[in-house]
Amino acid sequence: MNLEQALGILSKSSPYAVSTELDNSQDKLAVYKKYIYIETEIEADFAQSLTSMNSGDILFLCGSSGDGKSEILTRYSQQFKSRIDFHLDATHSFSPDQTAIEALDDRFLKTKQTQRPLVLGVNIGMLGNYAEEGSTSHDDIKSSLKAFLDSNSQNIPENHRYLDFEHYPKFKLSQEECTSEFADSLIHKLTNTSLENPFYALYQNQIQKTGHSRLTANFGLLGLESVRKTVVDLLLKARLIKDQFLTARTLLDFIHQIITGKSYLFDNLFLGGDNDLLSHIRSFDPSNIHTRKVDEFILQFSLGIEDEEFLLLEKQAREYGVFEINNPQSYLRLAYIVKNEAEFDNAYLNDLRRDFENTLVARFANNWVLHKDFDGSGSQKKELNLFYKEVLIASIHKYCNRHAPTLDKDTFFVAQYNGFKIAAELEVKPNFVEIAANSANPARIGYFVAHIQVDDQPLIPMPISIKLMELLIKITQGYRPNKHDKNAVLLLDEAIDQLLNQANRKNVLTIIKDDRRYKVTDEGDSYFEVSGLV
Amino acid sequence: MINDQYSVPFNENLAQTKEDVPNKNALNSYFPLRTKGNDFEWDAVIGLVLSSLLRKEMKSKYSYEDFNHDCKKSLEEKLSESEFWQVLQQMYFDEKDVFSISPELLLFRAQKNEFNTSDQRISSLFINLMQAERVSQFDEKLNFIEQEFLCVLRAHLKDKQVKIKEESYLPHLTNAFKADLRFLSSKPKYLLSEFKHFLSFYGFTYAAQLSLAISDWITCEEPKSKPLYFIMDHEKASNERTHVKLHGYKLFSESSFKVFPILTMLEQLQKEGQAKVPLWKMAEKIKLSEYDCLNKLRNFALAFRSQRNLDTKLEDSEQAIGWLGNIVKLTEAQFRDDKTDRPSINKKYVGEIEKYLAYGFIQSRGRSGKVLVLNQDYTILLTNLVIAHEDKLRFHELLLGFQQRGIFVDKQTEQELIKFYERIGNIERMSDSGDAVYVRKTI
Repeated sequence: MNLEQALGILSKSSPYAVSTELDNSQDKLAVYKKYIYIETEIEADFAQSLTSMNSGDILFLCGSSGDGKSEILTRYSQQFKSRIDFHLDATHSFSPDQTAIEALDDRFLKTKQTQRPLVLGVNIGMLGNYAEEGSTSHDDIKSSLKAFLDSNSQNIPENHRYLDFEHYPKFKLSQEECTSEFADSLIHKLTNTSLENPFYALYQNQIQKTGHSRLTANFGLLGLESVRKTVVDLLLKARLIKDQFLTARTLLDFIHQIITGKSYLFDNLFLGGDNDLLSHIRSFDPSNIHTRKVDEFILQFSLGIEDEEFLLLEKQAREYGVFEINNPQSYLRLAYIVKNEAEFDNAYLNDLRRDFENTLVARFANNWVLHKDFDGSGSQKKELNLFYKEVLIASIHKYCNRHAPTLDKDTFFVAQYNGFKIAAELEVKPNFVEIAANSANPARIGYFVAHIQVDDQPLIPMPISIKLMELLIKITQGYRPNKHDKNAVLLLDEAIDQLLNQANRKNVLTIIKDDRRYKVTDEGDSYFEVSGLV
Repeated sequence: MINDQYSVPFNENLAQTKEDVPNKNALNSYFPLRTKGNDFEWDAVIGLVLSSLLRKEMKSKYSYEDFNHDCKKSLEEKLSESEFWQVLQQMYFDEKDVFSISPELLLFRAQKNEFNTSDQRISSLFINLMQAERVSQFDEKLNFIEQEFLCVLRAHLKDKQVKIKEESYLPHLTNAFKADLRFLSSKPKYLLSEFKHFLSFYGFTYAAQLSLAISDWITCEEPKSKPLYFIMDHEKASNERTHVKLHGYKLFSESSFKVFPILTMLEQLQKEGQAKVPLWKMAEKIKLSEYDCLNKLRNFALAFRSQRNLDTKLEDSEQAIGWLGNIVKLTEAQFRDDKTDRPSINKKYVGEIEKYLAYGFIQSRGRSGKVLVLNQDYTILLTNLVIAHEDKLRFHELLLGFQQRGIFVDKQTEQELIKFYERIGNIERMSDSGDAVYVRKTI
């Protein structure tokens, strides 16, 4: 047994990727699997729910494929199966699988007959399908599913409980930092320098026998807290910017590939690979960043210029088993993953670190937290107002007025007829009442919901993803959306349509052509006051 | 009505002898095209369709110039400065921009002398498809000046009687068309910008679905949506895509050859003074009738065969429905009789179908031949129509909505659709499995 073999249990192709109820107590790899297991918050809630289930209760454990539903169900079914029925549905396809739906029909029928508590592990897509296609004899269950899918909790029967992996976000956003307890715990446990860690024992043993290899170098680097933090940040970016779901299976395989891939950790991270997370993370490759410092570094490296600080970086890397880096891109990637590590402190890194910072994620996370934790206080309103006034409302105004850029603030282009522009003055501002009301809803990590009002009329809530936020910021900086930015255009168009409906209700219109400007006011009683004629 | 089953369910004057069989194959129902003279203008068609939808028409001849003059008079009375009218005249009337403020303005083209026979025939396709659907008025958000213009127009409108001359041949399509009209009517600006595309799509899918359904009359039941496979316009049409190859353009083209022959025969079977009925309903009436239909239908079949000099073998049936089958066989046979010019007439007819109703949906793909395609604009329009008043819809349900409207896609195009929606940003995933994909509309 060596480190590479032990790490193999993380691979998605490993038979250990999904638990079975086979007796594996004699298997040599079992000790590693048992060690690496991380109990999650949803599992704790699941265990607690099991102990309080009564006759007729149904517990739905819902998520994506690879979330770990079967893992959890397998762990607990042995212990509780004498009084609780367990059912795991593994269906996922583009069209409803009639067999799976019929299986669920049968399952619910049996449950109603026996009144034994039921635990159902089910893909959330199948829930949607069953809610539409299931037997009418289970309309009570179908209504419950629809209520759950519509986040309509008061219509969920008391004997139904839903545990949704999506409501146990794998990332937590707060003012200070972004964390993922699950990913962080998993990597930390795997690489922990403790005698209790069987992986670490293999790592030490291998170094003592044969010295450092790429495998041991990667394992050691990943064990650094700062590297772990950087990896978690990359996972968050993949989640937010690429909308890549993070499931237990994908994460385990990801860790396997970055450690055991054919290159050093930092190259394995950014050179893609047969893993969804890696294929997204490659687009964040720091060697693709073009700043003066980065370009200078690449040029100097090619010229072979010796620099004292650079030599120090090389020496520091060697202490972790990193030898023979022969291209500047790899050095940049190394610099990136250790950018927060005290042991790699040197002038080179300090210069590059600023170029590696990503303010968009921080800005998105900050607004996400502000919306989720909004308490109505003046200071929070002030902070929220920055986003609304400077980004959302400003970009709506700029986009709405793209054909009439000289219009004043608070004046919005409505229509154009034969070269004459119609505009109206509107008061657009954040709707703090709705923001406060909405903050009670379960927050999804991929977006926060913005609420604005026009002349005190609320508009439809606007989901703001990080991609949309980026485009809104670019619009305020003068960028004009094109056909490839349809997402932003659609949401903006929807907001603007509502805004212009409000504009057409105004009793004051401004009409502009070239440098002529007229104002027409409906004074009531069939009288329209006109000003601006000369 | 109980009495119905004792009356003759088809044309009482159906020819019974060779001499009485009409020489000519006339078509005046269920299809808007003729073998020639099919040029039409969408503006006129749209005006006529909206006139029927609103049940409104001009009280008397009302020219654009008259309308312009009346608006001027109305506004000058209200404006604090009469000279401002010159600005409004330039804005709204000099280039006819006023037509873009409300669909009701399009009624100008629904007046006599503003449309031709072909415009009227094409519009009748849609008027019959909507089967008495009505919208009392649109909810445009107009500014107060535009509201004045609309008031002037409405003062010149009167109610219009709309009489349905044909029972719907394709009820599933009628239901979809009605639902889509209601949705579009709730969004007048979208209607104004998309109505031509909307009608163009329904003109095509009606022609396509009718061509597929017209042979399916023996069941005596409403036709269901028939599978007809499309690809997106950027996709490759590989030979291994069986549905695309066998149930795409090829199926549509072959089926189109049945439309004219069967509809001309159906025309002869229709009872006078009643709304015309589809062949499947005619069959149902014949089947349920207590009247002795058999002799009349048999005599007609024998007379028709003799008059057209056909040697088609007829099935000697003891049931009226069997003789209806013989009649359908005969009408198709006459258009395959190479001793006459009927085959070339039918071929020309099929060409007109492609030219006037299907042109936006057919693409030539070199060695793969022709395929049926959905371009991006039609995809977005259809998506918005199917989702309608919902926020979003499961992808599977969206596909069912497409199917109700006659659009089927294979697995490969399903994937392309999802990529397309992802590219324009109206996909919402609730998990990373394909089955939890929800699509939002774009308006």
